[in-house]
Amino acid sequence: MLKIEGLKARIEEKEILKGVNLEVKPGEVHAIMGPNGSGKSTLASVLAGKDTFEVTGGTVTFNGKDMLGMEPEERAHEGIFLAFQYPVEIPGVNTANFLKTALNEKREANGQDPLSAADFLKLMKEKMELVEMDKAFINRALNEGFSGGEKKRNEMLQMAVLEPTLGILDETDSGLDIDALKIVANAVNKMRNANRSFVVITHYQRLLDYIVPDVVHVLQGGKIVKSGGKELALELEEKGYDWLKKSSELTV
Amino acid sequence: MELKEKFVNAFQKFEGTLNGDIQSPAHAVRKKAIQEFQGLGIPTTKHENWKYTNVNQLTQSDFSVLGSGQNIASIEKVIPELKANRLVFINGVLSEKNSVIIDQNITIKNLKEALKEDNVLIKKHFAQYANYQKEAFTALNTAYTLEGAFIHIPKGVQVENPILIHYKVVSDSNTVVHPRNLIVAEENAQATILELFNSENSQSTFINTVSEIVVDKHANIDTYKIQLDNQNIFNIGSIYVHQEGKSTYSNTVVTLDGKLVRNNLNVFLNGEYCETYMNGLYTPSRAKQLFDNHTFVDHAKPNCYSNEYYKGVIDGKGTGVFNGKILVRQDAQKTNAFQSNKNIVLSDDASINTKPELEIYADDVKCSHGATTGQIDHDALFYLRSRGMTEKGAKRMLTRAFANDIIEKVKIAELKTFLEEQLDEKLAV
Repeated sequence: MLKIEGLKARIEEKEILKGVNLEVKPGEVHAIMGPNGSGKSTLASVLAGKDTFEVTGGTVTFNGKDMLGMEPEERAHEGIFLAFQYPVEIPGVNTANFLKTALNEKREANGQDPLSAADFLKLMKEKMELVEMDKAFINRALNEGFSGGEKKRNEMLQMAVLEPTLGILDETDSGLDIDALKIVANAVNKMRNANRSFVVITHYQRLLDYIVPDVVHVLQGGKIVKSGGKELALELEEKGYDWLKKSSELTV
Repeated sequence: MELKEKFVNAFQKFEGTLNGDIQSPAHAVRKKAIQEFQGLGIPTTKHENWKYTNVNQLTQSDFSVLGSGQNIASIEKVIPELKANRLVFINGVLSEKNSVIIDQNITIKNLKEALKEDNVLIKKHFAQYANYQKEAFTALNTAYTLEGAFIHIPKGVQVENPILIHYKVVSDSNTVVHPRNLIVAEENAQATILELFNSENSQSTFINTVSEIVVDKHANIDTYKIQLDNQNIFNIGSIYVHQEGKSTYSNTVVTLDGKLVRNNLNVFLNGEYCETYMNGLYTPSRAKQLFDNHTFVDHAKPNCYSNEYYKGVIDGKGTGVFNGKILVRQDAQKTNAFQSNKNIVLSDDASINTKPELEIYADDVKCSHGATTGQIDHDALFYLRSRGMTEKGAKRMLTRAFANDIIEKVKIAELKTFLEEQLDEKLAV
C-alpha cells in the first residue's frame, strides 16, 4: 500500500530525513517512535504534502502511484489522512461546512455523487458518537478555542468522516489525558480493518497499550534504525532511546 | 473644459430649474457652497486626505454635469424579501412608483419637498454638519442639493421596519448625481437606515452623496451602506454624524464593487456617554479599482466609547485605502476609543495603504489602534487541502472566513443573507 524508499527531505538547508525506508501493507498498523528531533513529524508532513519541506531524494508510492508529485488534496482524494500534531485553529470556518465540502470534493474526485445535507448530517451524527463529541462542536469555528483533547478528537472525527485507507497519526497522544487517549484509540481501533492501515507516530509507548501495532520502528537521526514487533516499544520505554544509540554505535 | 469649471458654469442653469425655490434659505446655502467649491477645487494627491486616492480618472471623464434626464419607469426591487420603507432614486430622481412607506409615525420624504417648505428641521440642521467649507465634494453636493431622503423620527419613536434608500443609475450617457440626505432622530428614537447602491450604467457615472445624521439624546441609529455599483461608477460620499449624550450610532459599510469608491465617515460626539460603532468590509480586485474608507471620530466630550473595525480583501490588481483618525479633545476624559484595520492581500499586484491616526489631548483615556496586512495563512491552507479541498476552494473558504466577522455584525437577517450571497459570488470569480 505505502512504500517509502530512501526518502530524504530538508527544510531550508537542514537535512532532516536522511533515507527513510518503510513499507506498510493493507490492514497493518505501524508505530514510529523516536526521540524529539528525529524527523517523525517531518515524515508525517512530507507524506501529506506540506511544501515547507523539500524532498531531495527517494520515492514514495501509494497503491503503486507516485505520491511525491501529488498536491495535498490529491493525496487526500487517494485516501491519505494526516491527523495533525497541532491542528490549526481557523476562525470563521464552520466545522460542519468545511467537512462537508472536503468530503464532497473527495467524493467528486473519486467519481461519487456528493452527499445531500441530510445524509451528511446523519453521517456526522454517527461519527460524532464514535469520538464521543458533543454535537455543539460542529457549529463552532474549526478548532477555535478547542482544548487540546477536543482538537485531537476533532481530528479523529474528520478521519472517521473522510474514511481514508491510510491514517497517519502525528503524536495524536501528546497532551491528552487518559480518558481522551482512550477515546482516540477507540476511534482508531473501530476503524481498523483489512484494507485500512495506520502509521502511528508517537514519542511514548503509552498510546500503544491501546492501539496495538503490528510493527514498531525507531526513527533516529532521520533514519529508521530499528524495527521489530510490539515488544520493541516496551523495551524502548524501559531503556530509553540512548540505549539504541549506544548499541547502534557499537555495531558500527 | 475642466470638470471643476463645468460644475461652476452649470450652476446658473441648475438654478433655472429650481423655479420659486431660489428664495428659500437652503438656496442661499447652495450659492455659498458653489463659491466654496470654486475656491477648493477638486482635490489632488497633494491634499493629505487624498494622498493615496487619485481622482484623475474622474476629472478626465466627460460628464454632462446636470444629470442624464433619462426617465426609467421601473427597476428591479433589491432584497425583495426585506420588509422595509423604501425610497428609490433612479438616475438621481425619486421614483414614487418604486417607493413605499409602511411605517406611519415618522416622516420620510424627498428632501426636495422639505426644502420648499418652511421646515423648522431644515432650518435647524440642513448643512450644519456637512463641512462644505473645507471639503470639495461636500461643497459640490451642497451646491447641487435637491433630491434625497429627508427622514424625521420623532421623540421616542422606534421605527419598526428598516428604511432602505436605493440609488440606481441606469442610462447610456455620462451621468452625475448628488443625492443629499438629512436624517434627524430625536430623543430616544430608534431606526435602521440602509443605503444600497447598485448602478449599472454603461457610461462613466459620478455619484456624489452627502448624508447628515443627527442622533439626539438616548437615540439609537443603525446605518448600513452597501455598494455594488458596476465598474463605471465613481462613488464618493460623506456621512456626517452628530451625536448627543447617551446616544448610540453604528455604521457598517460593505463595498464589493464599483470603480473608485471613497467613503468618508465623520462622527462628532457632542455629549457624554455616547457609543459609536464603525464596521467596514471592502474587496477591490480589478485593475484601477480603488476602495477608500476615511473615518474621523471626534471625541469632544468625556466618557464616550468608539469602536472601529474595518477589513479588506484585496485581490487582482485592486487597491484599498484605509485612514482612520481618532481625535480626543482635552475635555474628553475617560474616552475609550478602539480601532482595528485588517487586510488580506491575495495577489502580488494588489495593494493596500492603511493609516491609523490617534490625536489625544486628554490624559485619562484608553485608546488603541492597529493595522495588519497579510496573506492567507499557509498552515491553515495546508490543513484544509490535506482534507481534500482544492487550493482554490480552500483559499476561498479562508477568505470568506476572514470577511465573515464584518458580515456577522449585520443585524438585519435578510440583509445578512443577501450580503453572504453577494460575497460568495464575488469570491467565486
